[in-house]
Amino acid sequence: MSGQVARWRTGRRSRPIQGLMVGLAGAAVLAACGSASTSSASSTTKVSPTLTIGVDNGSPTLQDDFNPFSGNQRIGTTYMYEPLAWVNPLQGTTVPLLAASEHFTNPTTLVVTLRSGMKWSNGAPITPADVVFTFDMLKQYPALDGAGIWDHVSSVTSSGSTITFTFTAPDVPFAQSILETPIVPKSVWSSVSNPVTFTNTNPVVSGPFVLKSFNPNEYVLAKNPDFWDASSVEVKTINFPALTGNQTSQLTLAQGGYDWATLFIPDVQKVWVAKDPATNKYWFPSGGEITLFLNLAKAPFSSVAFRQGISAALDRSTIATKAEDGYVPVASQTGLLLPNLKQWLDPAIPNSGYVSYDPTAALADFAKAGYHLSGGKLTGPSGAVSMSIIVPNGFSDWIEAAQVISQELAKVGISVTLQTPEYAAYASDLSTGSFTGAIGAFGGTGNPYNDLHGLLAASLAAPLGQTAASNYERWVNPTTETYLHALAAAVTTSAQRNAVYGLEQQMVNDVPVVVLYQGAIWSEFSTKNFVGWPSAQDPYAPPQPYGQAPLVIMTHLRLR
Amino acid sequence: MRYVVRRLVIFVLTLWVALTLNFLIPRLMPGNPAQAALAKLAARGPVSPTELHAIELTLGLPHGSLLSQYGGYLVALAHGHLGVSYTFFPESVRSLIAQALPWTLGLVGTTTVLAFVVGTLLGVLAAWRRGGIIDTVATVGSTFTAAFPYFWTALLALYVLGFVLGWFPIRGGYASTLSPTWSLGFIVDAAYHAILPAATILVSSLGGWLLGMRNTMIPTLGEDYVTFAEANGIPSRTVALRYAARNAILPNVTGFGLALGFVVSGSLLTEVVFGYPGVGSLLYNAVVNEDYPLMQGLFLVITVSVLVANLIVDLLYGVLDPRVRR
Repeated sequence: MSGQVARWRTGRRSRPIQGLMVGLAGAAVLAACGSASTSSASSTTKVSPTLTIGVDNGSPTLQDDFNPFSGNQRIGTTYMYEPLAWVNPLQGTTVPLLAASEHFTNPTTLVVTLRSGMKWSNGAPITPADVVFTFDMLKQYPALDGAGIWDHVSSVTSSGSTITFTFTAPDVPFAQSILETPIVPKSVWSSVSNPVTFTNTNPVVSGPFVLKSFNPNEYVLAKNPDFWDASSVEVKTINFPALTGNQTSQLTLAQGGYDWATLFIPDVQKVWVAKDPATNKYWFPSGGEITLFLNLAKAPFSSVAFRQGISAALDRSTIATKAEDGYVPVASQTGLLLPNLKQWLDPAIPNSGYVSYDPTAALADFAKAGYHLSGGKLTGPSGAVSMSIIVPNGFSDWIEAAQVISQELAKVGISVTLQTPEYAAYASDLSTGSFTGAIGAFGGTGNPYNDLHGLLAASLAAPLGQTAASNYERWVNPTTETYLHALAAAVTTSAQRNAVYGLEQQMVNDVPVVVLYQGAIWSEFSTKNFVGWPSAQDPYAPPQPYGQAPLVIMTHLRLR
Repeated sequence: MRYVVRRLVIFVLTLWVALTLNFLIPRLMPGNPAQAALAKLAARGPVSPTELHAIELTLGLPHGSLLSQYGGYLVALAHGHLGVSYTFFPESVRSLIAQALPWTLGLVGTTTVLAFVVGTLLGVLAAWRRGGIIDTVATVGSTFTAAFPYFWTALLALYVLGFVLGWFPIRGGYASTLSPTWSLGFIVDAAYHAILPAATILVSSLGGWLLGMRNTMIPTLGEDYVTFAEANGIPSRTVALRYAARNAILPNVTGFGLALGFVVSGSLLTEVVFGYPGVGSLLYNAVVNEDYPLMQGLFLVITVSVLVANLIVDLLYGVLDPRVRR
């Protein structure tokens, strides 16, 4: 309710206050119909080279922090600091940024060549020494190393214009984390006494924008003339006003106050598009997979047949439609985000891994596991089956999904109770395994290894009561480990494909988690001043104004 | 004198209990601050499993036994250190509170005083002319507005006056193009931004003072000395204000003293709805993000100001009413 803007995983709407505002916003649209002439007049006004982006949460005001390694950095930080390269999660393609090229000479050696002639925004040249310095700093200060680079890498060295990363073990897919690490100038950061607490209020950067001004309610970025691809940047300035809550953000968007926003809006057609259909656009591509986690360390979920029963008993399209207002498609049980990663889909898997709703088949599966419907209750060796599902408080779309799930499971005789703890308590329950069912998300990295490794790797699981890093369902399987190791060491596409196919088949046949529907990236944007936004036809980047995607989007936007 | 000493001892004891609870309560919440910080990152996209470790290292989460943490907490407090906020890392709690406090004191302080003065005067008027048109309108009206849920009033004002009519800004404490300074332009702008939140607080809190004053005033008007004053031909305004109101106002003064103490805690709903940069918003964020140091800092400031307001009211009562001194 505070400054929480709906992001890719969830639309946090409809606490009571917001529910009311949604109703009011609907009324606003009706009321505005009579005076539509004022908004259509805007198409004749002069095109402005300024973008106003509604994305950065003030709580309620903004803290002056542009440290690219800080969890509290301003969103605009990633518009200024470039990594070596960036992976487009929608297509899995690598876009070189500071790097001219990168390749593995063998599965433990990554060689990156820098572009030549690049400059920092203070005029100093960008050299491989800056890159080596950045990674050495992460080693010296583990608090900065959120990606865990130094768990995988043993050395970073440079010679000429190339930088060589030596891995401790074959791990080709980990290159993404290295390539996406923001690079900082050695000349500035070497004199910083503690980079962990450094707020970096005067950033010296390499990317398309530099910081022009900052005040606690709004900061402004200006085009960086020293950026290596400056001729592709037509946006002259970007304003980041502080967001103060979903209610006011929706009203501001409806008033035309933002050129770009990332909000979950029920009925976006009426609230946003109808205000000016010629320019008000939205695109909600998938950015991850919303999933029902079942605790595999507890009966009856340890039984494969039982999990298949649950999977067949769920009508995913109803769940997706009710939870996300019909904005997102259902997900494939393979764990692949489709159609983004369709080049990895095993053609032998029937129906692309989409599970059809079939309560009769579900009951047959439960019978195989030794559970039968009696008196309207699914009963097994230890009595009637009941479970609970935990969902973080305020994630109202996930709560909606869990409610539909409990209705559907009730039809096959499983009684479900819904619990909505605060996020921190939810996260703690998930990682220690004190849950039976939970709604969560995974994937969306653009790389099948990174998506499935986090979900299935035994090293990321833990016994009940101990903290699991990300394998919350506690899937430990030797075949999976073989595939994951093969995938980590594979440098050829055919070797990678074999391992990914194997993992997909396990996902479909063994149901380690029940994949439900795709989580959307919410993005509303206006073509009044700028065109060239990412779209389903040209998905060169996810349309999100946060993270590193804007680095690429800003070189694609063209003045109208 | 014994009365003052007794009050002071009770004050110190209450303060200690409050400080201890202040330390304990955040630590009884499930989950930990690193996980809450992770939630913020998770909302922006996939988070790698190593992120939690990095966050724990960054925040330097408290470790050691609860008792040693408690000792450290008391020592730090004695030195005036409130620690570093987790949510707004690496900003210190003291500077965060210092930034937020003026906004809250300005908005909530002004409206509390205004609501008290206007509400009490209207209450006097309503009681003096009881049964008249002012009484009917004021009493029924304030019963009506006091019954609205506050957030409803606030959202309605925000929507109608701010969004549909566009008369007032819909968010923030000042225009996003300005920086906080003591210039005239900024002060005017800040006042303009304060009108809507202030008006909603006034509308919802005026009724309480009005009804309280009216209801104590009416029995006072029946007292013999009022009738005697009227019979002596003293002007009715003098009777109403100097004879009746002066005696009837005591309960409202007590309430006012406490209300002033609570000013510091801000008006949580107002500040959250209007995105006002005050203590209420800060408190909301601290709780949502399990920001122990910030929560402790805020509760400390709030508790101390309520306790001090209480002490002052107690001491004043001793002066005003000799009976309590026994």
